[in-house]
Amino acid sequence: MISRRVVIFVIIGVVVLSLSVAGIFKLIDKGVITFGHPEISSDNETIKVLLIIDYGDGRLDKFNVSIDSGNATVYSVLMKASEENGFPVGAEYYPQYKSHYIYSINFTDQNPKINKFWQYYINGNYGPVGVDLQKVENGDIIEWKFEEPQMGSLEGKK
Amino acid sequence: MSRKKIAIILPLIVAGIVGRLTLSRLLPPSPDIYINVNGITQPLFMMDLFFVIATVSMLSGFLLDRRFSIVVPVSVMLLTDLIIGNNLIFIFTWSGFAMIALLSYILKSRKGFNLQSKYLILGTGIAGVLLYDLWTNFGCWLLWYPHTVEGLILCYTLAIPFTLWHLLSTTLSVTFIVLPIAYLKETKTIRFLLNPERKPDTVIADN
Repeated sequence: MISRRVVIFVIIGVVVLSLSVAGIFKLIDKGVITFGHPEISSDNETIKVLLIIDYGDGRLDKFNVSIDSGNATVYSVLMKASEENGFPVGAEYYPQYKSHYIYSINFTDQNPKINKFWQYYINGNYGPVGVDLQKVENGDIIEWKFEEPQMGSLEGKK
Repeated sequence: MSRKKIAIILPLIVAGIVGRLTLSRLLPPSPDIYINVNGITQPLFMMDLFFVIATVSMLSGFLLDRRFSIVVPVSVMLLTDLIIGNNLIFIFTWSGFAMIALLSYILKSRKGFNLQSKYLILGTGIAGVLLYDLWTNFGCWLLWYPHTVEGLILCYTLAIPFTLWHLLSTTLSVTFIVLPIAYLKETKTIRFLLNPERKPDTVIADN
């Protein structure tokens, strides 16, 4: 004989599971949860972005980068500039975060001892997500700064 | 310190250190599923080794007294941070794991550490994750984000994939590590393993 407690437990379990599944389908329907990165498009028009590298010691490099919009991310823009202009970039891919981590640009390596790391800004705003996850658009300005970790201004965020 | 206590503390500290230093390469890649919240698209899960230290913290709370339950996770974090490196966020991460250990200790003190409390143990794991993430992300906001409501919202928004992974991984580790240890402790198999001279059937008969 199945006890009353088990029946109640099963009913509650089925209700919770049903609501969870329905909620997940609703989130998928609304585009909150997506399979594959939602901003990766198949369009292949060429876009132009400005890349600025600020070494934190007064040196500043500027590059105009033309890149296909289909795979235009902060990472791909940096790597294209690196290839075209012959400066090395140190990057390591973390599959568990689906993004690269940039630890060195043009022989300037991150230095935890003085708490200085490479951070990017897009159109003046701190880049909140990994470099492979941040799409760029025509006319965007990407700045790489060698500085202490901090979140910049959030105003004017896209 | 008694031999029994050392026999619990040392394996926990070693497991925490070895796990945190060696398992990162074994983490699976994040699935190709994304979540869009407040206009920010991120992977559904950001996978880290939180569950390793969370599991060690829970076990130290369940198996040790209040003082030593805190010593274990703090020792693991201290020794591994010396190798990996850290910054001021350590104030929040170390204390966050100490909170998980204390939460587990409180549950053990009131309800015991046995399979009768399995749902409470699982609930403690989930509550520990939420407490830890709320606390440490508040620390991130204090240290690195603009001290505005927008900064706070951004901080907690960016933390969602980490929290989802923490909930999933900790639920699994509680189910497959903590609950079996509760069973072993309940049947006094652990006592037998630590003291092989006693026959297991005699030990169980002690119940």
